[in-house]
Amino acid sequence: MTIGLNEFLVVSGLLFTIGFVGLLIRRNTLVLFMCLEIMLNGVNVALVAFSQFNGTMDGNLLVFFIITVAAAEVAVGLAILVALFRKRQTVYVQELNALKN
Amino acid sequence: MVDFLFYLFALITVLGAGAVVLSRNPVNAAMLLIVSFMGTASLFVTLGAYFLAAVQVAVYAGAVIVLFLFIIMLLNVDAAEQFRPDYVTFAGGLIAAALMILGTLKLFERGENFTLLTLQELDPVGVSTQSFGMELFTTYMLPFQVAGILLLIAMLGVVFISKRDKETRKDAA
Amino acid sequence: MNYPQLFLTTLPELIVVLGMFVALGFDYTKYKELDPQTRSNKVAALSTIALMLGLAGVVWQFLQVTDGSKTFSNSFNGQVVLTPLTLWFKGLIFVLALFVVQFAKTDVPNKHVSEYFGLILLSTLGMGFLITAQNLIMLFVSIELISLSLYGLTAFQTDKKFSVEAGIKYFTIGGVSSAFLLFGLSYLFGATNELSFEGITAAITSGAAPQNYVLIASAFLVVGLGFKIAAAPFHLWAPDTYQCGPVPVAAWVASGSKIASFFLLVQLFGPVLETSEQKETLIAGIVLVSVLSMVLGNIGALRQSCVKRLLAYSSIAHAGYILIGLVAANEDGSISVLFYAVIYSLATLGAFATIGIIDSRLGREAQIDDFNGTWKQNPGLSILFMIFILSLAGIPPLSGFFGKFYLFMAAIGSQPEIASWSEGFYWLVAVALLMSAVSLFYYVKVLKAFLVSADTPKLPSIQITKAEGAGLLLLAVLVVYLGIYPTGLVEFIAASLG
Repeated sequence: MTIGLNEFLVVSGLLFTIGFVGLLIRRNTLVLFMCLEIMLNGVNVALVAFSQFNGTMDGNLLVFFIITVAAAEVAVGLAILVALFRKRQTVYVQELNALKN
Repeated sequence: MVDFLFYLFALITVLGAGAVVLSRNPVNAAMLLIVSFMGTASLFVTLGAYFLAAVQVAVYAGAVIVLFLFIIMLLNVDAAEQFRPDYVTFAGGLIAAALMILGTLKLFERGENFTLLTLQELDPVGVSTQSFGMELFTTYMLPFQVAGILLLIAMLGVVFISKRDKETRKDAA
Repeated sequence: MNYPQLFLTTLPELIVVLGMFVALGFDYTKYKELDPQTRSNKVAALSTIALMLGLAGVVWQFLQVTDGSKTFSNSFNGQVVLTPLTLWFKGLIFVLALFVVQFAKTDVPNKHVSEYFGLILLSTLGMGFLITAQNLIMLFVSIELISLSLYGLTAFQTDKKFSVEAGIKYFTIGGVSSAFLLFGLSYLFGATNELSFEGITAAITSGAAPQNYVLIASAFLVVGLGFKIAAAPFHLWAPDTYQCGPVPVAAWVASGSKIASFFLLVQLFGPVLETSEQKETLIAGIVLVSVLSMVLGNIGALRQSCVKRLLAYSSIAHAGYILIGLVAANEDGSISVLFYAVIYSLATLGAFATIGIIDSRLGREAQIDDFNGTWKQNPGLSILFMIFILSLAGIPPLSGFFGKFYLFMAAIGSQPEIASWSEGFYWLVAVALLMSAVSLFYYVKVLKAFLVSADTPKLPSIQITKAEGAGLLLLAVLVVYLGIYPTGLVEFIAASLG
């Protein structure tokens, strides 16, 4: 079997799914953020594959922006996490139920 | 040969990601995440996107993971997680996974309008670093500038959110 | 590459960024020793000036474009497009930001004053860029510009644990929504091999794009944007964010970011829904989201005693109503969506601002009971609040009524032949009407508390500042004016959309 676009899309879909399932079943906020990164990686693989197989470089540029933004996003997220840890001494989401009603 | 490499890299990427989700210890998760990111970078190389592969390694495997590790050390939360998902979310996760995998497999019905190249026939478009720079500073100048503002927001946000106010420090002492 | 054109295209944004830097600079140096309230007034004044100059820039661009000037016709290499419609909405965003700054300055949560206003200004820029965006890259970057500043603003009160907690929830769910959005965008790009909206629309309408890819893309885009507009079942972040973030920020999330998101929704889905082969499937999906939002939002609002949380659930319900216009999948639908987004954001901004004023004087979150007897002590504030709430409830002759009327008419009118009860969107409109009736129950509950006489009113007589009073009054006038004379705005939107 030869490798075409679909194989890359399957890898991309699997990465996205793994990240999403991780988000649903994990409770540690740090790991949740890592799962977010895995999902974004899935997107990146799909975009680069589409871009190369379609013969344009626009998709590559979008990936470049995604990587930039993801790094900034992680920084903000981890800052919020540090602030949260100072207040609550926890990073586990199940202990963050003060808001439920 | 390329086929074999693709399967190898794909396996590394996916297994690495799966191991991140299943590992109990956040430090291990971060390390496994590097493996997954490296796999992704290798996939980019097989596709001919060399610049992005380099950026992927430098930004993700370099900066982002180091940031994660710093925070893990700073908060001292490298204790293993009690990994007991409740059944409702677990079922939800399984259903979500099943749906998405089904959707992905459905993609094997190829889009009718694609030129059905294989990886061997693929002629990588000119994604040299130079052409990247040209595009970024001409066509995509505006988003590039906006991305700069975005980094400014991240900086502002990180500084004031994680800054410990004097009063709170006194309380802690 | 035309640099003078780049300069003129981004003139309003440049002014605002410059103003933000001036405010930051003064705050870090000259105002350093002042007390927080004085600093907040001064920084807010600087931000107001920056926004007004930016607004002047937008108005100038608007006049240029309506005069038929070719200055902006190049649309900057297909990144942004400046048409009367986009510039009008961008101007509206700037005006709303002006209101938010006025409401925010009396009660800055902590001493990081300039960062607070800086983030409000930067999110304004993001919303402006999102409205004018014509390209997936521009779209993604501006959405993230909005999201990142709103995450920061929500978690702003780092000394209150709930604020940070709401921030982390908003961040995590917002990150997931961005990932879904991007996955959708990647398939959209893959299917059409285009990044510009124009090219994507052309590829989809001509049928050149593989349909299964378009379907996957649309499904993920609905999920991603559903998070952004807080439609059920993607609404879980909204109540916490609205309740626990600073109130002006909640007002900003509910008004500005919603207008921008709905504008994007109309731009992206309008053409696809009208022409794509996947029309039926997509519409079915959006109908599902719409019904779920209306039901869960209104039912959820019934049980709330905290007024902010009640408004949060009501905003979920309103997202459901607005989606009805999208379901119509024609031009009338798009017009009604944009019109209602404007109306809704004006009323909800006013309602949140009033609650913010009451909260800050009360020193805690206002419950419905706290409003008992407000009428006696603060008749002016009560009347304004009543106008906003009645407009949200959709009582004629206020603008909310006409907004809903247009939405429902667009949905019914999209079916040319007379359909039976179960066909067409009659049943959808019937559900919406039923849910509007349910919503009256909780809106009236709030109003009753205001008007009911209590022996000892819980609220003291409230002194509102000039800026707050002027802002509330202006918003109320706009809400009433658009109710009495809605045709002006509707005709403008219709003319520029066509």
